[in-house]
Amino acid sequence: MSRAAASVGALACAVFGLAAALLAAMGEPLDWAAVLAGTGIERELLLHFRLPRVLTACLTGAVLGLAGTALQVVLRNPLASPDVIGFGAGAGAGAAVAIIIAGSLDAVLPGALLGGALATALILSLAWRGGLPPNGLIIIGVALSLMLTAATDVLLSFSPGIQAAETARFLTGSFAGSDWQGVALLAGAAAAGGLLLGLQSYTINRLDLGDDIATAQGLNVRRTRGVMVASSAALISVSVAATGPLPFLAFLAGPLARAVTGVGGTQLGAAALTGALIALGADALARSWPSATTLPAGVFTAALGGLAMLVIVLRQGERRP
Amino acid sequence: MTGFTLDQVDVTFSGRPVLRGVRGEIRPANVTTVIGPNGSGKSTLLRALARIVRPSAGRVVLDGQSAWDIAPKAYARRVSFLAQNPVTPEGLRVRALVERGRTPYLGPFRPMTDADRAAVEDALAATGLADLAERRVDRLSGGQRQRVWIAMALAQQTPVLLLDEPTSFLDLPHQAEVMQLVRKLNQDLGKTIVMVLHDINLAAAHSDEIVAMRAGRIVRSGPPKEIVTEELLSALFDAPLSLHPRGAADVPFVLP
Repeated sequence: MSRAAASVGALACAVFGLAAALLAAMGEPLDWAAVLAGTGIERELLLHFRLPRVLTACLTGAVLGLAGTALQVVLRNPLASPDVIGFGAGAGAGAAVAIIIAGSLDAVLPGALLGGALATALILSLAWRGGLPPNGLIIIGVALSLMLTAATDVLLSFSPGIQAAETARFLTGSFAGSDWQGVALLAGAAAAGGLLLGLQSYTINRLDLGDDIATAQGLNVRRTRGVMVASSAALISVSVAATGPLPFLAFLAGPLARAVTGVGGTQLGAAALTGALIALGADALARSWPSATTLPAGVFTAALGGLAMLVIVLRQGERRP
Repeated sequence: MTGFTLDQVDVTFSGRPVLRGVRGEIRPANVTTVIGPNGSGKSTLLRALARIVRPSAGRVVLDGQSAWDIAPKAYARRVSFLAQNPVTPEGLRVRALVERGRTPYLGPFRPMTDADRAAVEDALAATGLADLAERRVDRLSGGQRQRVWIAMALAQQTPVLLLDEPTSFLDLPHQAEVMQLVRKLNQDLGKTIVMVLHDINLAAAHSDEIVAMRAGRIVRSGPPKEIVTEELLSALFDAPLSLHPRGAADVPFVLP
């Protein structure tokens, strides 16, 4: 068995193991006899709280892993993940506006999708003229991301107390409010995204020799890049709607998957599993944090991702240009 | 036999004209070299032939058919292109890079066949890389790496090969090695080769025809003997250039 196949197997086992451990051992230990007998509160607890929460973490992680790795490869830069270049910030800002207007979480999905789409359209239109050059797109995206985050903060400070608190909690990203509706949404996104990216990966994985050579080999570089940017934005917007933003998760999954498998390219399966593993790990840390107030999972992905980004930037600097 | 006709080709980059009404012929089974000062549009001309940049007016015609009427994959089976400064992905092996040349013949549901593998082995053999096939491309010398890129273009099995400054960043012996390889591909395999070169002496020694460009136009084209003259070159480069006889060779040596 090749190293790549072995590491995908190992990742799958790790995801399954961590998910099972979270189901069984987090919080009050379950009385399995009662669960199986279908009596009492235990079964309700498992079916309505723990299972959707674990599945939400797995699926969000997978969706973000797919969105991140595809964009990084298509733009030939590990910094080019949808949570770094503004797609996530757009979805977050859209969701925040939806919460403040509706006064509840009901309109979060359309808000996040609209926000993500608007931010992506703006970044693309600014970068389109030169045929979507990867580095131009990344710089425009990072700038827009910062502006959107600032705008969201301004919005928060002007909105009434209850909505502001609700929005602020949503924007830290957590799996605490997971339900089956969210699981279904994420499962649909993961399946559709996996299929589309799988079909495109032949082309995506052949863009690494530069746009000119890829074009001369008969590939449609601009169309592929456009489709991938749009799918990546749609995937992160769905994930933001389901759990709030989980900073740096999309950014981390791809490079880790490539490091673990030892192969370049999109590594869709490994990246999805790595994303799921990070999300489960962040939730496990969040729930076992020894303090009176529970920290949301997004805090842990942000801390881990910031560190990883430093390492990647420093390594890029060391390499000769 | 595959050649090009350029029919009043204009190319503009964000409003700035780079090629202005370029017309001419690139003859089949010839080695044609484009020369000219920096910014004269040499690389853009090559990229227009490769169907990478689209003319804003005029047509690039490949064997009687307008380049942009031909599907990208079909075009890539007839014309291969080597960029001036291609990105070498970290860790990629020589054979894996040469296999990329098969891209226009494959797809998500069309994996490599025996014919594809044979094309790759032929390309490795023709460039003398059979022994280096399992080495990492990013750890090869400049000359070896250039041969790997040429092998990739060969694996594409096209009658036309376009090379953008294939000798830049190479030392003299490696420049000569690449030029001999180009000659061999033209003579043994009958390939039509169009390349951009900075070095007029290399161009003169290894081409059947030279195309001289200046300010987005073809000033003149013809066999090296007709192009490599003191008047034409001095006017082309806006600098006094002098010719010096060099032994038995047909074409004299150019010095500033």
